[in-house]
Amino acid sequence: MSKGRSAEAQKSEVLQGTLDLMVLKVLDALGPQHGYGIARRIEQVSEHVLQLNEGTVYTSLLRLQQRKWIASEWGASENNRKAKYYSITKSGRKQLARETENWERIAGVIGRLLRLEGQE
Amino acid sequence: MAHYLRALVARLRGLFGDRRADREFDDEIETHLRLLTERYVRQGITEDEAIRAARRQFGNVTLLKEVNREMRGIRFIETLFQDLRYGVWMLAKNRVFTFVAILTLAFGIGANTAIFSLVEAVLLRPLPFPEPDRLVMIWEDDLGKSSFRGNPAPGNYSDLKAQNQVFGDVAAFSGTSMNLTGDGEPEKINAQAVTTNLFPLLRSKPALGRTFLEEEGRPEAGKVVLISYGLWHRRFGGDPDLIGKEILLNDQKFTVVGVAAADFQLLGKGGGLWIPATFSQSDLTDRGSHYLTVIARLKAGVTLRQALLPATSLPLPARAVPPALLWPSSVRVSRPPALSQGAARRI
Repeated sequence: MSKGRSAEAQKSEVLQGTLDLMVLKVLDALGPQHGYGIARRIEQVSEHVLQLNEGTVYTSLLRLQQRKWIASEWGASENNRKAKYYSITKSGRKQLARETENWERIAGVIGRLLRLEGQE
Repeated sequence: MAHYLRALVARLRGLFGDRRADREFDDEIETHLRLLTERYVRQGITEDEAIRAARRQFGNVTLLKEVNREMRGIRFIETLFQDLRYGVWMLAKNRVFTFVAILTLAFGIGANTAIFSLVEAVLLRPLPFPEPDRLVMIWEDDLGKSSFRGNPAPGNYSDLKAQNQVFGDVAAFSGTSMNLTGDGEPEKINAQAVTTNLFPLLRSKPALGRTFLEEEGRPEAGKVVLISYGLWHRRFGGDPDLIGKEILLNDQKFTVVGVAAADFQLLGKGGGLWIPATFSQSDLTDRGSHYLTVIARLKAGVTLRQALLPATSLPLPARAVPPALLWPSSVRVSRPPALSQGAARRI
């Protein structure tokens, strides 16, 4: 138990609002995916650095769907199980571009700021 | 407020198939958990442990479902308000459109109300008399023009009354107007002259006093009058002692014998007061003056369809009269459309 906790302590929480961006990006890059697939992809890319309650992926999916940035369709999963597949929409791609730019700008600003403060 | 809103959302969600959304979401979670479990099992963990691990990785399922459901509900309300706001804004922006739309609605609602009032009065509301479905009106059908409804002449009325086999009784009335003088302002009153059997035929009981006696329909009889409930109250203050007293109509003394029932009305103008219709001998052979409105009550056991057959209802008069003045070859019998309606309230 204590071992598990120390392992988890090294993981970062998913930053508020960034999950939506990640989900959009995954759908943009990989094409239609179900929730499980998205969670796996994020896990894989984050190389186990991010601590993610996978259930929150679904909240994010619903939010994105309500904004019409993604669409969903029922299909069969790998082992022939019923699964809901999500795909990015046209307006979702636009949003992704906007958000990516935004993120890079903020990240740049924060990075610069931190570097400057460190030099003093 | 929030409580009501939540109840409303719940109800609306029931309407919009949200239970299906809930079930689909359950399925999704289920699939996800199972895939996670299978992955752990493949990694060599026992099934029980794998299930627990999957749960841990997925997070709180109940909470997730709750959040999901709430988001859907809130979203619904949000869009609703958005739509409403947008609608109001558009209306405010396009004044002309709004004006036309409101005018259209107003006319639409107005027309509907008017038509419904008419339909209700004419078709739906039953006549205020006992067994209203046994009452019919009789019209002359002039020269077989089917849409024409002619008022019968007294001679024809009298023949019909005497010779038909389908009506229990036949009564007639016609409109007239009388000047009421005496106490108070002189007043012109829309009146109706009715055959004395009219009230018994309609089975309408007076509010006060009595209706007409048969002998009061004879030309030599003393002049009597039955006044409407409205006139009784308006002009005579509802005085019960009015019965038996004389009032001046067209400068002649008429004895008030009764006050008609409060809801008593006849088709057409009139309804202020009623006097007996008197037919002289020459009137009873007059087939040219078409001024009567004729009401009949079907005999017990006779259907309206039978009454509509000219052969059973209307024998041709045997008298030799000029052809043009013959009882028409066919006669129309109809349901009284609005026997009690019309301008009767005007008094």
